[in-house]
Amino acid sequence: MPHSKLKDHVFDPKKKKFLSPMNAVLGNIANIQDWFRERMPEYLWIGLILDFYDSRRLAILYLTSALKQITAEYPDLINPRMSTILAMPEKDQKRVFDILEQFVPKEAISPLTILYTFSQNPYFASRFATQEYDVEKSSAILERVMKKATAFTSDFSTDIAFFIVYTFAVNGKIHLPKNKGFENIVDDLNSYADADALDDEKRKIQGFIRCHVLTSASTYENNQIFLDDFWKKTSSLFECSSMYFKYEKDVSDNDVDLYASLIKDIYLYYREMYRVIEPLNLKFLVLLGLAVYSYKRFLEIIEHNLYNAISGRSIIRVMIECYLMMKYLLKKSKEKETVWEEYQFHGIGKYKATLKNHQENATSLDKSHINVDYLNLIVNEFKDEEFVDVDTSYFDDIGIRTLAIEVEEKELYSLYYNYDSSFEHGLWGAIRESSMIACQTPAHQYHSIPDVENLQKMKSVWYDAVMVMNKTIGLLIKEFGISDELKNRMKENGL
Amino acid sequence: MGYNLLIESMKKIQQEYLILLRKYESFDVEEVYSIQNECQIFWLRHKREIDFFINNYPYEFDTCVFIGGMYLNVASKSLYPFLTFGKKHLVDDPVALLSTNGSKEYFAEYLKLAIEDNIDIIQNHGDQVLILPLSYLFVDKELCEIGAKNSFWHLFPEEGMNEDEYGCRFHSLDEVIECIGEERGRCLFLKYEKTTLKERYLEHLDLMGFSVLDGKDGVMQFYGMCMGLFLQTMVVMTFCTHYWVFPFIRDHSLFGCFCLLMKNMLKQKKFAKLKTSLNKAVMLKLFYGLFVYEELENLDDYLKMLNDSNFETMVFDRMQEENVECSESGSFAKVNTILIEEMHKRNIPCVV
Repeated sequence: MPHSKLKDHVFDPKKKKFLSPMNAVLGNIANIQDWFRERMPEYLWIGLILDFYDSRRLAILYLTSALKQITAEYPDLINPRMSTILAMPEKDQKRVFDILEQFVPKEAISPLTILYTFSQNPYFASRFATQEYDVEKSSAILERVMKKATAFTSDFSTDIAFFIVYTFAVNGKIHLPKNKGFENIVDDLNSYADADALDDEKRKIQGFIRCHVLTSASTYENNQIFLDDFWKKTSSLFECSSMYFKYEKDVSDNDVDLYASLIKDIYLYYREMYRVIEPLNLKFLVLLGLAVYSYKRFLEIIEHNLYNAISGRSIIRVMIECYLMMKYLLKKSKEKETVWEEYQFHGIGKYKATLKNHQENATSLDKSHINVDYLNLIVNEFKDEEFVDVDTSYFDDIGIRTLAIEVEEKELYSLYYNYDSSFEHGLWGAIRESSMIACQTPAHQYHSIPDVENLQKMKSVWYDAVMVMNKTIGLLIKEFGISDELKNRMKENGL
Repeated sequence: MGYNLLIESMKKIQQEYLILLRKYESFDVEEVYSIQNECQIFWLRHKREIDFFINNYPYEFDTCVFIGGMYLNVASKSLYPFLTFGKKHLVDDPVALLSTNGSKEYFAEYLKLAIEDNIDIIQNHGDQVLILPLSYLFVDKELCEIGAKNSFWHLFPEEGMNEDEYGCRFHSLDEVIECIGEERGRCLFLKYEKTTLKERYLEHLDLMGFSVLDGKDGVMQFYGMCMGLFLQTMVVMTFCTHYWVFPFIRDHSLFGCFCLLMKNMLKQKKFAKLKTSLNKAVMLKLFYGLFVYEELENLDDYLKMLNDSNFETMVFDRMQEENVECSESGSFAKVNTILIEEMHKRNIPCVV
């Protein structure tokens, strides 16, 4: 089933967030039960049987036959949860497993005996434990099947879910309007089951199966004791198996040097142009100031090898912000000539706020990175601070998102800036990607391990940094032109 | 092409210069030096901008510079040959540099003509040509003087010739010319159709309005005249090689000396890239000799025809295809042939 698009999400003004289509329709229902953590443990026995056979068709055939008979005798097992079976009196358990064993060899679910041991489940353990399926072998099988059943949307998980739907359907518990494309649900499910490989037609039914499992979840309360016990046992049986990315710099030193040398010459050109031709041009100063700030941050990537580091992402974000601001100021200056000065004093006002905060609270900053004396000089550089306002909002009282839309750079904002903002603000997505290592052990519910050894190295920011730098330089060229020599060098470098 | 502050800043300066020049369309002879002074001060005030400009405007010999001459003389249609080659065109401001050994009246007359020419260029051809004080501000005079002296001493067969030796050894013009010899003096005073060096020299003096001096004075007069020529050559060479441009040289003697010194320079591998400057200078000079532009009436039509028919590119490509290097002997004849053929193809008026 393809994932929904962002435009399909529904904005909830009260929550100030875009709800996924599923959450918007189902509210909290869809979140009540998580497939892997809360449902899979109950149906792992089905997964083991499916995994036992090479033929999907045969596995489903045997199991549906068994379940038909079981549910005929034990209607409570219309939802064939393991916790329900194990909670049955021993004689009923015996009957259920007798029926099951008419169709499926007991070895198929033997691996479960390392979880449901004799002390707690004596009947189950004594019936299914075998010498062949020792702890080691059983653990390996359990791990393999749990991995296969991890993603709810996988074929394997859907096949497990099929049995939940199937038992409901054959017992007449599912009623659908005739015009919804499922004229006879049992026939459709039989057709779905009767194949070793899935074709497009059968995949259509998968959506229905998963949807039904999600919606039916609310009718059954979790057996939390069973679940807690399952995860406690499985997690202690398996070791953490960490997996981390170790991306490396994806560009040669020579290419970096070539590009860095070219953009340095470009910036030197504009620096000289400003100094020599337009030394009093405020527009030039502000645009070049923003561009050079971006350039200095760009250089940090190279000089401090931040290609794969968190800081590299912060740099991309600020480079984008500088570029967006350059475009915005240019646009705004057409209607308001004073915008260049306003932009400068907006920033100076922010510094004044820091300065005042320090002065009024007498905070000691002797060993701090904040250079108060210099701040004082900057704040009072062109105007006495008494005439400098402190603006607490973003420049021009406009959000960065609106600003990006105004300068027709929405994608730069919604894709790159948004992503990099997660790193700047320490949001969980960024923490997860950069500072947490994935544990591949399903029994550990794929938990994350904090990356204290600093092993994880993310994808390089080089090409995105170059992309934003090129846009920034492009803007300067559009405004001020460039020499033929630099133009030609840019062309030779594919810019 | 979009806005380019580099060019626009120069155009702005040209307009400011035009306002200044217009004030001096007519002046008294007595004011001549103060006028030149003011023009020089005008350029000095803009030195940094122009320095930035000439360091960034020319690119890989795409710029043709009129330098080492007096003034361009636009009224005599000199823009036709000047604009034929090169993508960009600069004129060394004669007003800033003019100097003459003659009278104040002679200087005033020359300055007036140079100012007129400058006004014509800025007013009517400002999009195609920029006037800048190139040799006044951006050529190392001391270096040129050293180069000019060395060039002069190298005319003599013996090594170690210098001012003292020259002053002591020679007592008459004839002794100097005999020592140099016809072969070594071949590049001197070339514009006169006379066979011997002495004949050419005397005609040059005559044209300049000087009479030949006797004895030691004549020896020093010859030195002075040759030094003037070599100084001009050094100015053209140093500017063109420093900024990677090529010159529009009309004067035969200057051209001869330029070619001679450039060829010597290009013998060193490290200067190999500069051969384009020589190739293009030769191409333009030879074209200038062949081109009958005085009959042409519409500059824009002429330039459009050149552009549409890729005249410059075709000539230059053919030179490359036929491996014509102007630093090698026999190359001028090949360039002439190519030029004549390409000119005929386009019906460009040609003396042949």
